[in-house]
Amino acid sequence: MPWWGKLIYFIGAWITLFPILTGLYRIKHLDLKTLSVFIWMCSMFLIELYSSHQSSLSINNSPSGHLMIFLNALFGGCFFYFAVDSAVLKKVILGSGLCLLLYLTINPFLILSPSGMRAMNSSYGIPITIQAYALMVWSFIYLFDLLQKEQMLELSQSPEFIIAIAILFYFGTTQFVQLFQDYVMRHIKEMRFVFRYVDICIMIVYYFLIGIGLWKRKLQKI
Amino acid sequence: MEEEIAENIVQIIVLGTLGLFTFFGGVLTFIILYQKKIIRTQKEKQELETQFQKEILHNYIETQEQERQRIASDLHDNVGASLGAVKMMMNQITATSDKEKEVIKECKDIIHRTAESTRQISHNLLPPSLERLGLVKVLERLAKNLTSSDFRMEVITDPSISFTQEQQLALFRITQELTANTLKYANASYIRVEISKNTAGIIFDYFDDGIGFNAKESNGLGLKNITTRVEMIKAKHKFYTEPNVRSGIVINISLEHD
Repeated sequence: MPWWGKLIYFIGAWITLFPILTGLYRIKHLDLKTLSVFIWMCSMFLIELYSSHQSSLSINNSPSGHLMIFLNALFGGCFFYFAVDSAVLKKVILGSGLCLLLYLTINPFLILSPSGMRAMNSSYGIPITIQAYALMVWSFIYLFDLLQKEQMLELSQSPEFIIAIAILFYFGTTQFVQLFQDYVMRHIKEMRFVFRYVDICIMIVYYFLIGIGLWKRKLQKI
Repeated sequence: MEEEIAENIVQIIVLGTLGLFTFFGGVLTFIILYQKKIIRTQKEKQELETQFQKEILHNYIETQEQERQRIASDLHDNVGASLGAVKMMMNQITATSDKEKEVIKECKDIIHRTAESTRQISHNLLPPSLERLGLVKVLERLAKNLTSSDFRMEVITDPSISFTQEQQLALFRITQELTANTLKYANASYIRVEISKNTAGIIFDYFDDGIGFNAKESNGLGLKNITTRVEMIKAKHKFYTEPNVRSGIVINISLEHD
């Protein structure tokens, strides 16, 4: 692995701590929206740790992946539900969120993989794509709601805006990575490093922006 | 064949991701630009509204001044003249009894008091002495009227300072408004008006030793009137407050606008 590859892996491994540390530092100033994001980040970190531990013991870590997708949908939905002001849009997020959570709950248990294993132990390319689409749509809903507001916010100072943009960029730009995840893992193992680099680079930007979002505490009205 | 597919897949992943990155970058740019446009429109609207309100206040003050002039002139020319005529006619009446003499005397007294009140009201509405005596003398007269055993008003001026008619009237009205505010709310025992001159222009400084005020939080018409009157003579002003020491206003009238 080249030195820059190692550097990307190193930053990728530690960047997950950045939003947790900024969230902890600003813990007293967090509201429902940012608190849900902070809990989301903490749970992601713990699952990531557990998943890496399983992987190091050569145990299938797909269940952790399924749990991660479920928590992404749960906390992402909570964040956008609290961030949006319009009652109608809140209902849209709530309805679509409940449907998505229902799907993500029953999917790993109901579908059997060709090898006879439950889908819980199989890869999660399709659920992760669906979850990413949902988060993208919720981000667009939030941005639409933002532009409808009479009192404009200083966007660079708004934690919600920065977090929503981070979510939109991460789940939007990793579409191809997630869509071809299964295929790459099974058929072109030698290209896995490209796949991982792209994923980690986007992830670094994502966690960095989330950390900045949790750092910003005051909403400035213009 | 499989290698070709693998290469294509990698290309799709890299190019697709870059494409999506560009797309979402575009979305973000659009939102920021759109929001900036909305903010600009809102600011322009606010500025127009503020300008409109200023114009309304300006017109209100001008109309008020014209009405004061008209009422003062009507009181002086019509009511005052009529009262004078009544007084003269009363002098022509010959009383035949002591009781009649007493009634006539009382009527004359009432007419005299009414005429005096009318003159006072008329002068308050538009002091004729302002044009004749000038601002400084009128302010000194005002200070003399207000000064009592437990209240003092002082006017300090530079005799070489001259004002335009517009400036005199504006500064007199501002002083009237400020003294009324001091007497009503400030719980003060001393007012000082200092008019001085430097190379930049005339400095009008009014303060009292009362409890002070918050000009930013005040929604009263009085302070808005003062601001508009200052703007009407193209001067600049600043309210200041230091409770129980000195609270008031300093107005800078630039010589360029003389």
